[in-house]
Amino acid sequence: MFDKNVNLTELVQRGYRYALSLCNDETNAEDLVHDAWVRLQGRGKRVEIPLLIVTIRNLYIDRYRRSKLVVVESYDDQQTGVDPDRVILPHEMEAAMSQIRPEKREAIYLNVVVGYSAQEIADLTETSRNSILSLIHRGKQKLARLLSDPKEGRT
Amino acid sequence: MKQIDDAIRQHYASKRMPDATVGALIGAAPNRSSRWIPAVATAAILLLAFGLYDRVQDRSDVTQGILAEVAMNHAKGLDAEIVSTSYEGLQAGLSELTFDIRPEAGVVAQFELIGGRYCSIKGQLAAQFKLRANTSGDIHTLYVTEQTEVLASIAPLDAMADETSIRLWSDTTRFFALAGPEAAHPATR
Repeated sequence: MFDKNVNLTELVQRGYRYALSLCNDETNAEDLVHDAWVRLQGRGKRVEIPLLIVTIRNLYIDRYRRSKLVVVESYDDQQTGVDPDRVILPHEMEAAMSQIRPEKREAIYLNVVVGYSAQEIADLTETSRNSILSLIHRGKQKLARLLSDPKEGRT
Repeated sequence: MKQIDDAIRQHYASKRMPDATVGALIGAAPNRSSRWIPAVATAAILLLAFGLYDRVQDRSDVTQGILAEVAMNHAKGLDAEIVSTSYEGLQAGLSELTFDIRPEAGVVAQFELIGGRYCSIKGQLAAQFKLRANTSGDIHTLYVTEQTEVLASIAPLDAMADETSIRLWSDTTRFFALAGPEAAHPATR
């Protein structure tokens, strides 16, 4: 869970990582954080992580998601695991993350990195808890498949 | 899935917004390495002892910070969120601003207004306009925000930052910054 007492620099960095989980693009993530920060300061509000996340999310939806085609992924529930002895290299992870739908990346980030529960993510994203659990589960399975066989994402 | 979870955490832990960008955003200098802190503290104490720190160093830091912030925003070339060729239209669109955004007549006469958006200068809400110079056709970015004690301490200035030509000036109630291609500013004062 986010600590409310983080300093401003760390707060911005956490906002940036969350923005990256949405758009997976460094420039767009910087712009999202910048504009969210300005918007919050313009309203005279004290910037805290939950508020920053919601603001970044709203900006992202306004700006990007509405204008983009929905990525359709094949539903494949087969269990796949990564060889436990295999070392996952940064560029492999980078490539795999780029193949994941934003909704899944966001849910995975909030759950695995931030530590939000499925219910907390559901409240934040105004989605059902079951949908969030499904996004996290299927997102991780997709990552596992991509990391087991990097060629899978190349379609 | 623990292996995947660990890889996800490592992936995001490696992601950082550049310190200079963060510093500009929150209106503070980028973090310095802790090994420099004693030296910097000593230097600050010495400067304070000579009564120079506030008058010289602070002002210089603030000016450099603003120049970096303005140059970075100009380089991004962000699209205008509100497209309007009139300052009155932009004022209506940027409704959270409590100050008059219309610049002085010299600027209005020499640039064609394309549009604008919110931004910040030293952490303070500001307006950012995209302008096209009448003579050269070059795109410029004009920033305006309410005057503060800190901004009022900055003398009018022409400077270069990151290959961007920047002019800073103030009137009685507002602070302005104009950014554009090198040596391409028409007269603004």
